[in-house]
Amino acid sequence: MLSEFLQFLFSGVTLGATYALVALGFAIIFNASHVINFAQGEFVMIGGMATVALLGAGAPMPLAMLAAILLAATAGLLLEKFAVEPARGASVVTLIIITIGASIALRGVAQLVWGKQFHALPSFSGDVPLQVLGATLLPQSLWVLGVSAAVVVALFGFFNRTLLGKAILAASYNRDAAQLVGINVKFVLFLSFGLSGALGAVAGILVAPITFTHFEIGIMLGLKGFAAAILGGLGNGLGAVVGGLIVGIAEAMGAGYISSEYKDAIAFVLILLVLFVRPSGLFGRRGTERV
Amino acid sequence: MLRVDSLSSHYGRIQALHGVDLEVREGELVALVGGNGAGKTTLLRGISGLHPASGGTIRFEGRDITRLAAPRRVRMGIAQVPEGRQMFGPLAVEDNLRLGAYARRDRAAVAAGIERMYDTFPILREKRRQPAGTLSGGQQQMLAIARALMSKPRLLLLDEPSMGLAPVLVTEIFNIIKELKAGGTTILLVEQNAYAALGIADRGYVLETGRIALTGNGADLLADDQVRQAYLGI
Repeated sequence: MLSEFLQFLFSGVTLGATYALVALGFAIIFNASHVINFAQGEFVMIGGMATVALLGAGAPMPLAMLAAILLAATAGLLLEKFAVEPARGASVVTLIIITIGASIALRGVAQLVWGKQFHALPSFSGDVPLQVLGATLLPQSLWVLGVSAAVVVALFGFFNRTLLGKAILAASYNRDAAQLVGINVKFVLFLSFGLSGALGAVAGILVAPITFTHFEIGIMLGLKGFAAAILGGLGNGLGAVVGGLIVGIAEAMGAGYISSEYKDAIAFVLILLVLFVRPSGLFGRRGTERV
Repeated sequence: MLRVDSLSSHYGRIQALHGVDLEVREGELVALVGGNGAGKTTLLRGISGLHPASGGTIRFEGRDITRLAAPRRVRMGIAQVPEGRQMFGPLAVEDNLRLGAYARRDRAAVAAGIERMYDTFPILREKRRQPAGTLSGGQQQMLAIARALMSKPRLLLLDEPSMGLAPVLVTEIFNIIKELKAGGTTILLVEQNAYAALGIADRGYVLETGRIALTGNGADLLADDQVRQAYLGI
């Protein structure tokens, strides 16, 4: 009984940590531009697929991973420079549609370059499961959790302790005022896309040994991450992390206790519930502004 | 120091400024007054770079800055206290000040600058860990001025600093402006409160529907019948 529950919890938290990283990517771009970047899932795909391809070409694992992260970050920067930036001044809905177009284009390119097969990435430190109170825990799950936690802490430090991080927040709170203190808001937007690309790639590399990777894997991972971001409150970092964990755990519990058929539906039922009950999300911005 | 020549500006198809000429000399306090919708804020946003000019030129210390982006103008020494204060609401008071000096790289001097702002505005020191959005209107206005001063501007653009404040605070804000001028800061002050603004200004401009209607030294404008009737209600 307990072992079964623990088993579901482990897989839920592992998935949830991945969703949290994807949701953070959504949050960073949303804060900088109020755009929901539906190409976020494709960054995840690029991370996994590029690592597989580079390993296949003979690169050592750490180098392949680093290069894949840089590639996804570059994809983010290019997306901003050549698709979002030229449409500056367009409505947010137009920009969102542009990101959907970009996601389709990225999938197409990935299919051409890397093919349609599923690929597995070897686990970072073996496949011998650990036994915890009757449940099994894959070493790769520990990697997912550890690296995700480290990334979250690093991001928190960046946004709360560094001047550049605060400048990015300032630009999201008040664009005009940010320009008036000398913050280049165009550069902030550019940087946000690059950062989100890198974050997505990290998520994609971490889960690739568990879920396999494929040129279309970004669709579902992107949507689940989006669900997590909405659940936590769009644009809220803590919300993205908590939202990711809730979606992941709910999915694993639903798959375990109800039916794995409904696995993917659970995230979307959660979004609907949140939008009905609390549209600003669990940690959505409440107005503390006095005017 | 600042020279605006036949500046035009549009919002879409609507022309807000029709060839405005204006000059601010080093050390001066110049008031720009006029009714609602006269184009005062548009002119200030044009000078700071937030709103593009559609014609004419803006020169600052001899350099043509008409097409420069706002962050570049901050680095050249132009700071604007925007209308409605425009805090970074969720960030702490101290972060707002620190970001005010974003364009500066001299960390030690910036820290000293923050201390100086706390000496000038002791209430900000008291509230330095609080989110700026939770401050009262008057405190936010002080923070907005302090934040702009953190960039060490040579020209300070003030947009309606007295708006929405209780009379006692208005007096305090105007005292601060006088002190800034005494300290050598060049100031362009936009105000609906024409009486108070012209009272402390060296010179003034009266803006009407996007054109300069009158200009002269502050005291003369205050005594001008046309100004008294139109803006002072006397």
